[in-house]
Amino acid sequence: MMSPRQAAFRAAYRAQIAPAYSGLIHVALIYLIGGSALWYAAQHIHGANLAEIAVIPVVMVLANIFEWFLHAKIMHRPIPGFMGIYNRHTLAHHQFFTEEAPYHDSTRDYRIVFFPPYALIAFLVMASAGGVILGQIWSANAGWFVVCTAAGMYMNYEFFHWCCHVRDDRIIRHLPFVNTIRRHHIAHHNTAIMMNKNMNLTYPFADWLFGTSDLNRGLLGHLFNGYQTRFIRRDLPKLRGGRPSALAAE
Amino acid sequence: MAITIRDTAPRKRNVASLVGGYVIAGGCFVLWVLCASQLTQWPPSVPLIATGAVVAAGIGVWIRLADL
Repeated sequence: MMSPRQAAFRAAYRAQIAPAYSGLIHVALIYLIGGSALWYAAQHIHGANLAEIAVIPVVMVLANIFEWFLHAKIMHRPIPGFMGIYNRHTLAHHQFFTEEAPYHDSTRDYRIVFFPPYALIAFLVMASAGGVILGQIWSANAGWFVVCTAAGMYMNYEFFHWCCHVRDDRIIRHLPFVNTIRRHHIAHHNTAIMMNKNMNLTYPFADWLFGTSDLNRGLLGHLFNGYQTRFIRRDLPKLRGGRPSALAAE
Repeated sequence: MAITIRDTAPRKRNVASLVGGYVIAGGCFVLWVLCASQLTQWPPSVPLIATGAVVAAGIGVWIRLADL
């Protein structure tokens, strides 16, 4: 159930979206750029050994921690120089989507679901710099794996975040990892915990590692929790007059 | 002469979409050249580079118009 305040914010936000905006072009751009970067980097990998392939899980873990850091320490903190990110995320995204009404209505709402494509370019530049350094000091294959994995993780992030804001149905609630991150992220949209809890948007690894999850269970339990609510910590701050989560209501 | 009366102020675009338009156009052009050279030869032909420049400029302009 959407509050009048949230409904008013949505109407005002939608009125500000430029007529030329298209959610489908926005998404297509992200996946064309990310897919091209991944494909180009993959073309340069030849005869990789096990140590070089091991770069993939290492970069996945580092990307997971980076995603947590960016969300917890930049997107939810009013830091001078990064106020645009704070405004767009904490003040806009979290008013548009709440724990009680976390779903988008049309592809024009993708404007506030997906990052602007320049975020992907910035991420690819950072990953490429890391890849070049690793390629120089160790192995070219390892450097290209860094770029491939980073591009893949970015697209993974955007897809999972979109999955968090689509309406629930009998398929999505049974998809491993997707159902976990849906509950995890929709709970994060509760204003009582949004500044400190559930900062991951792909796999809740860093939240488990740094103790910022709303769950009280081990790593595997975190990753495969799905929609279960019986492991939610009892000591979380409560929202006064709070309404039930959209997932709980269903 | 016809007079148009606006009942709301004209919508202003954010400066971020201007910077973003240039960044994305630049990024897309570099990616285009790299991928084209991978599919054909290095350096890619002038028509391929020109097409990449047009596509990248189009994307940059759309980013600005869409205020993304």
